[in-house]
Amino acid sequence: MNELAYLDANSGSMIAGALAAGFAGIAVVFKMWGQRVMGIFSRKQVEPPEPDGIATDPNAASDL
Amino acid sequence: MLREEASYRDPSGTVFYVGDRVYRGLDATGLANWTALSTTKFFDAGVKYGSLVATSQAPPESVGISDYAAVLEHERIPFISYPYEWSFEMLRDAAATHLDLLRASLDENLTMKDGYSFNMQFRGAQPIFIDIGSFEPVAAGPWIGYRQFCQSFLYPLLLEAHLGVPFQRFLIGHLEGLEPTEMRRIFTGRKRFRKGVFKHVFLHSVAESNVTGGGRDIQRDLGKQGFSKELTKATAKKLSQLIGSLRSRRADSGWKAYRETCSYSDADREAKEQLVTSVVESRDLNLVWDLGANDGAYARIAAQHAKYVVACDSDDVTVDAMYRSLRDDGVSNVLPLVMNVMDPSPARGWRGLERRAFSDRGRADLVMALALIHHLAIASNVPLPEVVAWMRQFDAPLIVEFVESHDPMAARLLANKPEGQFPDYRIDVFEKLLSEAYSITQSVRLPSGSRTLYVVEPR
Repeated sequence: MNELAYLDANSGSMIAGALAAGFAGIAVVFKMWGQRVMGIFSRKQVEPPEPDGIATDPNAASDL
Repeated sequence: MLREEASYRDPSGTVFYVGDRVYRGLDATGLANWTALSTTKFFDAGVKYGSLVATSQAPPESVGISDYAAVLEHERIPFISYPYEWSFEMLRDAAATHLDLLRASLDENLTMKDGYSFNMQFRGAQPIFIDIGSFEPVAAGPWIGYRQFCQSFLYPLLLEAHLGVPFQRFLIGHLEGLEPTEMRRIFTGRKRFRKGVFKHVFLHSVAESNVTGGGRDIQRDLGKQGFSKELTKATAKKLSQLIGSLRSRRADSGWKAYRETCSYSDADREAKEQLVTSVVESRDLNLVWDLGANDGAYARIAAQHAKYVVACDSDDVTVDAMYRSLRDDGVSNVLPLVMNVMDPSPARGWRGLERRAFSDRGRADLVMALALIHHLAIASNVPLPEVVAWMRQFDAPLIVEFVESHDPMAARLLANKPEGQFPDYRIDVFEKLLSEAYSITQSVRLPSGSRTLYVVEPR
C-alpha cells in the first residue's frame, strides 16, 4: 500500500514526525538508528563491498 | 462531465462534476479504501455531525461512466473557499477538525494519507473535510501527512500566534505552505523557543537538512522498531493540544478598534436593515455576496432569506470576529472570508486552474456593497466609472451604498488626500453612472443625510 501512496515522503520529516510523538517517538528513532549502525557493522563482516563497475554474480555470495 | 482541476494528485480517485452534482471515480485501491471507510463508526458520526462530507456510492451507469471501479457521490459544498481566505480561527478550527478525524480514523485502523489544509472546506462557519480518498488502512510508522500538516496548517498559525503576522498572504503565494527551513529562518534566536516552534520547526528543519535517504524506508524502519499507530495518535493529540492553545495576537485590539470607528446612528442602521430585509425577502436567492461585510450584520439578515451568503472583508481580524460570532451562534449559511476586493483571490496552482478565482466559484443572485464604495474611490483612488464597471461585471442585482464626502467616515478618508483630488466624487455623478449601467428600482437616503442606498438591476 505504501508503494501506491502518492505523497512524497521526506526522510527528515519522517524523523521529525516520529520526534513529534514525544519521548516514546524519540526512543524509537534512537532504536532505529542503533539498529542501522549495528546493521552496517554486521553487513561489513559478512559481505565485503563489491568493486565499482564490475558485474556481480548473484550466486557468488553463496560460494563464500 | 467536468473534471475537477485540483483532483490530479491522488491516482486512486478523481473528482468530477455532472451538472451541479459532485462525483469521485475510484480505482481498485480507492474502492478498497472506501469500502473500509464506509463501514467505520467515525464515518457515520462525522457525516452526521457535519465534519465529513456526506458521501454515498453511486451506480457508475447513473453518470454514464464506466472507467472506474466505483463512483461516489459527494454532497456539494455551497461555495468553495481556500485557506488563504480564512481567518486565524477558521484555519485553527479546520486544523483541529482534521486532527480529530485522524485520531478517530486511527481508532478504527485507518489513517489519512495527507495533511493538507486545502482538503478542508467550510459549510457556513463549520469546517468540513472533503477528501474522502485520503483515508487508507493504517501502516506502522509516523504519519505521512505530518510535513504537509505543518506546512499548510501549523506554520501559518504559528506566524499569527507568535509574531502577529497574517498568514493569508504567505499561503496565497505558496500553496504548499511554508517550508520548515523557511520557518526556521523566521523563528530565530529566542523566538525558536516559542510554543511548538522548537519541535515542529527547528527540529523538523534540522532533521530535513541532515537526514537523507528514502522517506518510505525510514517510515518502514521506524514502524519495525515499534512506531505504532498509538504513537501516531499521541502525535495527533499533542498537535491538537498545541493548536488549541494558539491565539491570534491581534484578535482583541482589531475588533475593538472596528467597533469604535463605526459611526452609524441607530436610525441609519435601522433604515439600512429594513431595506436589506425588504430586498432579500422578496427574492428567491441561492447565493448572495456581501462585499465589505465588516461584522456580518447585513449578511446575517440576507441569510434569513437566501440559501447561502458569502461575507467578505479585507481585514482578517474583523473576519475572525465575524467567524467567531457566526460559529458561536450556529449560523450555518454565512461563509466569512478574508478578501480584499482591490486584490481579489486570483486563479492559482497548476495551469492556473487548480484554485479558482473568487468570481469563478459561483454566480451571485444579489451583491451587497454597503459602505464600500468610498473606500474604493477615495482610499484606493479607483475612479467612480471604474467602480461601477467593476460592479456591473457581476451581472447581478445590487444593493449599493454611496457615502457622500461630508459624511464623517468619508471625510476621514479625504483628510489623508490632497484637497480637490476627487472633484467627481459626488452623488449626482455616481447616480448618473449607476443609471447608465443599471435600472435603479429603489433609493433610500438614510436619516443622517450623508448616505444613500440604491437597489439596482442590471440593464
